[in-house]
Amino acid sequence: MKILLHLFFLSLSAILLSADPFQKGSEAYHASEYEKAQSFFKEALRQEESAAAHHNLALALYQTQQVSLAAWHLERALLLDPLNEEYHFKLGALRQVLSLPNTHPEWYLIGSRILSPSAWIAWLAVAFWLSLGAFLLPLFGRFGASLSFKAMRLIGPGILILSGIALYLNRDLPARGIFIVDTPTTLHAAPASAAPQSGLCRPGERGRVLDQHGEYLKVITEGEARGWIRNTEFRRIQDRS
Amino acid sequence: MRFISISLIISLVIQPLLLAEVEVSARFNPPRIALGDSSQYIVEITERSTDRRPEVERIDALPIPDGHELRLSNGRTSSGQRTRIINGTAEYSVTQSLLIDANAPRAGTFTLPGYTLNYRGENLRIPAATLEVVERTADAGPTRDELVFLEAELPDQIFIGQTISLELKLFLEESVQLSGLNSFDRSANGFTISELPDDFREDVELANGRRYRTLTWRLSLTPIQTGAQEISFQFGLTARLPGQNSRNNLRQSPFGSSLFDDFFGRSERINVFTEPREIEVLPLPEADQPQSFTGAIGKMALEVASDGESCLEGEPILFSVVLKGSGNFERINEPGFPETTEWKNYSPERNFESDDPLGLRGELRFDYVFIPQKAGRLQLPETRFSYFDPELKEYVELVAPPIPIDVEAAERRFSEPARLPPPVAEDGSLPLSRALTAEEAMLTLNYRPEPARAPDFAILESPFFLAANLSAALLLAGISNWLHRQRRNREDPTFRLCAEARKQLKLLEKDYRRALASGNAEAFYQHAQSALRHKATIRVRRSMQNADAHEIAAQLPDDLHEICLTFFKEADAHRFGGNSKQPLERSSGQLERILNAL
Repeated sequence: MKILLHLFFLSLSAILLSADPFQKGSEAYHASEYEKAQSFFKEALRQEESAAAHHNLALALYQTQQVSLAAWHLERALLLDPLNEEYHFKLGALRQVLSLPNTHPEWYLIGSRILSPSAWIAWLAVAFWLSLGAFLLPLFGRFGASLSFKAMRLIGPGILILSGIALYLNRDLPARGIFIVDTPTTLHAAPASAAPQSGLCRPGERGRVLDQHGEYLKVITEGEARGWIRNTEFRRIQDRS
Repeated sequence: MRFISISLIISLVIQPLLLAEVEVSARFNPPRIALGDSSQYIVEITERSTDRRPEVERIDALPIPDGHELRLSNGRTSSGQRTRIINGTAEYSVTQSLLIDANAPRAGTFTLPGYTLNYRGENLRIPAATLEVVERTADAGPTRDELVFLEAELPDQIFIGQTISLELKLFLEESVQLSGLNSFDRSANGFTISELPDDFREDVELANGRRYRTLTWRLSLTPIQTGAQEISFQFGLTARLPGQNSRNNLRQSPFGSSLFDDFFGRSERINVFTEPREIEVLPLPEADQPQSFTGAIGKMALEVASDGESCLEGEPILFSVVLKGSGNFERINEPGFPETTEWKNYSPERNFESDDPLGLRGELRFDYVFIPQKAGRLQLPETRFSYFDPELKEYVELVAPPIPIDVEAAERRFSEPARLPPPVAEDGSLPLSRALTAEEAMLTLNYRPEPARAPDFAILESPFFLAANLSAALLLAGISNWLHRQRRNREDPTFRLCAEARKQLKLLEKDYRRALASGNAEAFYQHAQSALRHKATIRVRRSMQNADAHEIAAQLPDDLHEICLTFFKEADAHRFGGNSKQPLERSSGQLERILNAL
């Protein structure tokens, strides 16, 4: 009976494992079925977003020459897992393939991404109320601050400053994105395709949204070129889908 | 019958009038030549109008009937226009001339019959023209073809893509005076030929017993189709030929040379051309064609150089490939270099310095940019270049060895994959692991998905977050307030007295209301008096627990003064006398008014 139960659970776990789109995507990737692998990894992302799924999808896209989209998924993977050196390496290599500068982010930028912006905001709020309490309560009660209050007066403002800096460094996160184009594409001086050319954006290049008008986004590229581009040709890092 | 006659007369009169606007003529010029000379068959179509200048409809071909023995060649057109004003009336005329060279195979009379030409939707009748050709006498002068002719030095065979130079030589008999070159044309569909240069070489040569002045131009020729390809050249020129007048002047002999011929000669537009010549264009041999062959044909030498022997990782270095010699430089493609893990390279810049006006000799340089991808002792790749030698009829491959470059690590360098032990252990033992190449590391999947946190600012829109912050604010305010009150209680007796009075007042208010509800007058008046005293304590911020009615009334407005005294009097009467004059409800109303006023 015990053997039968073991067999049942083993087969159940095998079925569950085979149904995992992430696993299926990995298998398809190793079978060089990159289109299929992309579908599985996309399904895995729909079920539950993970840096690994974004990373693997990026490699599958890279294999089918969709390099700018691959760059977006690697950027997204690094946003979710900023301390992963392997992702940094691969993004750098991909950017070299795209003839973009391979710059490793500074330590403080990586540090600011250790927590999500929401987590930094939560820490900021907690630190604010703790700091306020640590300073105000002894003042109102007119009593000498105990050791715990003194510790709160040190730790609270420290966390407050730290989270404030992290949020400042991440302030333009909603505006950041990648140019999803196959060839260098024209930026226009106005939100219209007939407007004169004001610059060029390269495939996979990073950019930042400055303004929006209808189907057009006003962007600034890594190369400091400014102009308008269709919103289908620029994808924000923060957009999950 | 009469009507038919009138119509015929009208049509016979009007039609010539209508057709009179277009005149057609055909003739040979000169109409009489010696055998070996050539004449020109000229058809002239003249349109006249008094309203406006007629526009010429270009004629591309003449439907000359077959069956004549003349050799007609080199057809061309020209047009001229004229305006005449007679007695204030303008007449415009435009003449289109179609000229064809005519040569006769024998002496005799040759007639080109009349034919119909469709012009502007109407049929024009081209009249017949006759050329008389007589035998050439022994003392006759040279023919025009002997006076002026064109030669091109062309090979019998050539390889496709091969670029050669050819010489086009115009022979002018020394008695011919060249006035100008009007046009140059070539018929060569299977070749690309350079434009006629402005510069030419002038010499004197003897040919066929005559002395000629020669003008030589150098052109480049490249075949673009294999097989037998036809080629010919043609010049349009203006020259003064000796004895021109004699040909039209029947009073003088047209066949014999005359002392005055040169003096009476006149300028003539002449077309000279080479006979169409077939060149066999050979395909390049496919056997033994090296992989590095990119279309070069000729004789060349290879040189390679870099602009330094060391650089930093990621720093571009210039790598030049130079081809020297002769050949089809315009058609040579750059040697390709595969991208490796050590180097990234970009399409080269092409630069050609020619030693020859035709660009067949010189130095072709390709400048590549190579970027080292890692530090260490690297080598710029080996260069292979092949060309086809048309003389040897075989391919020649040139090889330049790799160039060593010392690459130093840069501060901001290409990130490396996770480090693994080196492939060969230092002690020489069997390596059990090896480092992944950059390519392998790049394409390795991640097998451990972990749930990710949402990288957004969504918490700002969370009601829970807002409620938590509001709660924190309220809690802090409450604690602060409580602490503040505690401190005042400790430090301020008046605050403490007032706070105690407020606390007691709240209790007493409940008590007298309860007594009022139960009709217990004694308890009511007792609690009411205490409540008034506590209220007065709060107002004057000092203890009024022992105050009498007058002291409390002093704190009230004048209109309540008497009411307060009455209330206390009534309370004392009831407490100490056991009776009262007014009902309890009325006293309750008085109490409320006094408390509100305090």
